[in-house]
Amino acid sequence: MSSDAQNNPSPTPPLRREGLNPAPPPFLGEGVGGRGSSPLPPPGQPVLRIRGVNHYFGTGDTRTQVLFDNTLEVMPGEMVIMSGPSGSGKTTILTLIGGLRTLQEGEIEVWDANRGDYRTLRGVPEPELVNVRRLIGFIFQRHNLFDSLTAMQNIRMAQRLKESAADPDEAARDILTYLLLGEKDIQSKSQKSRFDYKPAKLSGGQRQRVAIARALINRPKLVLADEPTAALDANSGLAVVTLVQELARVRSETDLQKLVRPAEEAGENGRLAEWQVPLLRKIATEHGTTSLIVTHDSRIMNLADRIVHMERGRIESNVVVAERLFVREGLRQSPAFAAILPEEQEKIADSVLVGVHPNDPVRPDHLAAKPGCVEVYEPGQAIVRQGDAVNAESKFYLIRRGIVDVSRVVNGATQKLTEMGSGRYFGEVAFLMDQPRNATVRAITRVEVYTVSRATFDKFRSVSLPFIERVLANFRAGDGTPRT
Amino acid sequence: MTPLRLAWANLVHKRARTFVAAAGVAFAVVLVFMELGMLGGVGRTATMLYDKLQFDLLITSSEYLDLSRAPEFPRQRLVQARVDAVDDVIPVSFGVAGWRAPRQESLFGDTEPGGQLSINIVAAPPDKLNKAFVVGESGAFASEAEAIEAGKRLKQLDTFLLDRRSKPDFGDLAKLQAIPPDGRGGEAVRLNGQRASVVGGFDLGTGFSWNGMLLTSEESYAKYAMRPRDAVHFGLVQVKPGVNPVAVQQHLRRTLPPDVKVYTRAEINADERNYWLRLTSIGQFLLVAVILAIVVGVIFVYQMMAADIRNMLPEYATVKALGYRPPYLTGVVLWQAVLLAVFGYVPGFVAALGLYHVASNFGGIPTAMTLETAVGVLALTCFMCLASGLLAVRKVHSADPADLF
Repeated sequence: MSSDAQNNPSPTPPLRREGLNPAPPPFLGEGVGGRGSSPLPPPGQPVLRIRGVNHYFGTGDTRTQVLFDNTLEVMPGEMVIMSGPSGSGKTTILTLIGGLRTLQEGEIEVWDANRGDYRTLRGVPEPELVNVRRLIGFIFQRHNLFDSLTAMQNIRMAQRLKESAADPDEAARDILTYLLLGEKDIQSKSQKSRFDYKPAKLSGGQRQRVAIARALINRPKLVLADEPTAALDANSGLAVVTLVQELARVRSETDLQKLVRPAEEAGENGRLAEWQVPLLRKIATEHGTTSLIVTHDSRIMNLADRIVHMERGRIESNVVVAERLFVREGLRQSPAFAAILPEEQEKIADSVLVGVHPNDPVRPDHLAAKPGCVEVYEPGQAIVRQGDAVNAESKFYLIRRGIVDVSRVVNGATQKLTEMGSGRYFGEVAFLMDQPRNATVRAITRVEVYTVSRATFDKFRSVSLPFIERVLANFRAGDGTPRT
Repeated sequence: MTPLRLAWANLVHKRARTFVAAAGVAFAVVLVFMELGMLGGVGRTATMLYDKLQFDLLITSSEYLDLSRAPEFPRQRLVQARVDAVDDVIPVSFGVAGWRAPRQESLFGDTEPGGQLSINIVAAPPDKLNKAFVVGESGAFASEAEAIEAGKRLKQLDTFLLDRRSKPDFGDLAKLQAIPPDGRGGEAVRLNGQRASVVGGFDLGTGFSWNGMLLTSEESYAKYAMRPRDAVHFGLVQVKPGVNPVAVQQHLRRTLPPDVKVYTRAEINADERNYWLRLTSIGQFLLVAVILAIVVGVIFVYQMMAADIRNMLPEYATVKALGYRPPYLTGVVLWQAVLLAVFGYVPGFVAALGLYHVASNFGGIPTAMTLETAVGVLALTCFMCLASGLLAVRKVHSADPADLF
C-alpha cells in the first residue's frame, strides 16, 4: 500500500461538478433546514425524494400494479435521465412526481422554494396538487400549445402564474429569441420573428421550442420532460440542453464559448451563435434547476448527472454518473482490479455505488439502503491495522472522501508513510498475496471509503483468473516494496 | 391571459365553428322571439278591442269569461249605472256574423266571389263613436272629426265600417265601398245573407280572436245579428273628471244587480290576458313552445361547446398541468358561452325584428318588439348558453393532465 501511495499515487478522477458542491455551491445559496423562503433545500438534502412508491391502474379484478416499491432521491441541479423500455413505468412515475396523478402508496416530497420546505404529495387531494404543479416545468413530447394563442401568448399563460419578471414580454421575447424563434438565426442573420405566430403556422420543432420556453420561463426548480429534443434540429437541441444546464448550474464562459463553433465542426452536436451566449446568461439568472428527462437522445444522455433505469415498474439502477466514473477509475488504477476483465471490473464498481455524488457526503440512510458498500470512519479511527490477518472478511478500500494516514511500526517505532485522499485506494495486496496487513491506515478527517469484500473479489477473480495470475507474476518479479 | 381573453381568442381563432355555433344560438333566439311574439300577440289580442274603447269602468254580464264569450245583460243596467259621479255610460255590443267572400285578385288568377267568412261585429251608438272609441294616432279613428263623420254614415241602416287592418280575404275597403248596395253590377256585400253597405273604415287590427271586424250602429247590429234590442254586451262607464273610478266601481258593485260585473280597465285587461295565456290551449302551447325553444337552444349550444371542448381537451389538460385551478377553466368556458350568446343574440334580434314586421303586417298577428322582450330574451340567451357551458364544463374538468405524457 505504502509504495503504491508513495510511488504510484493514483490520480484523483476529475469528477468535480462545475459550480456545484462542495456545499454550499455558490449559486445555490444557503439551504436552510427550517421553514421560510429558500430556493434550494439544505446542503446534502435532495430536491426530490421518492420512497416506496407503488402505483396501480384499474380497480377490482382489473387492478394492475405498474410501479413496485420505487425509491429515488434527486439532488439540486442534477440532470436525471430516465431510461427503460416502453411500459416500464417512467411516464407514470413522472406524472406522480408532477402531481398529475394522485399518489396511492409511498411518499413523494418535492422541495417548495416558496415555502422553504418540502411539499409532500401523499394524501394530497387533487385541488392541492395544483400547488405542486406550479413548482414544476413540464415539457411534453406533444407540445400541447393553445392553438388560438400566439407563441408569446402561450408563454404568457405560464408567466401569469408567477409574475416574477419586471417585463414579462421582454422575458418571453428573450427566451424565444434564444431558442432561435426571434429576429436572428443561428448565422446571426435577420429573420422574421415567430413571436406572433400561432402554432398552426409553426413547424413541429418551432412548436416544441415554444413549449420548452413556456416550461422554463418561470425558472422552475424542477423540470419534467418527455423527449424534449425529439423534434429539434441539432442547433435548437443544443440551445435547449445548454439552457437546461445553465439553469442547473453556472458554466464558465470558456465552456460556453466552446459551443460557439463553425458549422463544419459542430456536425450533429449542433452549435450556439455568439449572440446566444449573453442572452443565455440573461435568461438563466437563477440556477439549481433539477431536470428529469425521459429521452433516447444521445446528445442529452451524455450530459446526464444521474441515469435511472426502469424495468417492469421498478427502478433497476440509479447511477450517479460521476460516482460510477469515480469508482471505475479508482478500481482501474489498482493493479489488482486492472487485471480483471473490464466488464467484470465494471460490475464490481457498480455493485458498490450508493447513488450519491462523490462530492457529497453519504447519509446514514444511504448506508442503510446499500449496506457494506461504503464505510464511514471518524477522525482517529483505524480502518486497517498492521498485522491484522487476512481472511474472508478482509476488504479492499477506495477513499471516497476524507484523508487517511498510512503508518507502519518498524522496530518499535511508528513511521508515517503517507497521507491519502479522495480517489486513492488501499488493501489490495492482502487480497492478492494472502499476507497480514503490513501497515495501519487511520482516518485523519471524517473518511468515507468504498469497500469491496474478498468474497466479491474472489468471485470475479475466478472469472478473470488467467489475468490475475499474470498480475501475480508481475508482482512476484517486482521490486519487493511491501504492500498491504 | 384572463379567462375572457382566452375565451375570445378561442372563438376568434375557430371562426367557422364559432359562426356555426352563433348561427345555432341565433336560431334558438329567433325561435324564442317568435314564440314570445306570438304569446305577446295572444295577450294583445286579448285586450285589442278594449285598448280602442274609452272607458273607466266596464260593465259586463256576471257570466263573462272572455271577449269571445261575452253574454248579454239587460240594457236597463246601463241606466242604473248612471249615478252622479258618472259622466256617461255607452252601450257596446259584440258578435259574429257570416261575411260573403268578395272576388279576390291574385297572381294565380282571380277567385270568384262567394263562400262564407266569419267576421266580428262591434256595435255602438253612431253619435257617440268619438266618445266610445279612442281617437288619435293609435286610436280607432284618426281624429274626432273622422269619428263624428263615420257616426253620421252609420246612422243609416245596413251600413258598416270595415276595419282597415282586416285580413285581405274580406276585400279591399275602397272596392267594397264602391259596390252599390242594390246589387247592380253583379256584386254585393252580404252579411248573414243580407245585403249591406260598407261606408268607410276604422282601425282596430286582427289577432288570434278574429280576422276581420265591422263597426256598425246598434240598430244594424240588432237586425243582422238578430239580437234583442234590450240587451247589450258591454257598458262603457266614463266617470266625471276628478272622480276615482275605483270608488265608483265599488258603488256600482253595491247598487247594481248581481247579473253584471263591473271591471276597472286594469282588471279586465288582467283577466283577459290570464284567460288567453293560461286557460286557452294556444297560450299554453306557446308557453311550452318558448320552453322548448330554450331547451333546443341549450342542447344545440351544448353540443357545439362539448365538441369544441373535446377538441381542446389536451390544451385544457395542459392548462391544468401548468397549475391553473379549475375555476379558471370554468371561467374560460362560461365566458365562451356568454360571448356565443352575444354573437347569436345580435343577428337573432335583427332577424326577429324582420319576422315581427312580416307577422304583424302580413300575418295579422299583433307582434311587437318591446324593451322587456328584448332584454328578457337576451337574459334567456345568456342563461341558455351558460347552462350549456355548465353542462359542458364537466368535460373540461375531466381533462386529465396525466394523459399529456
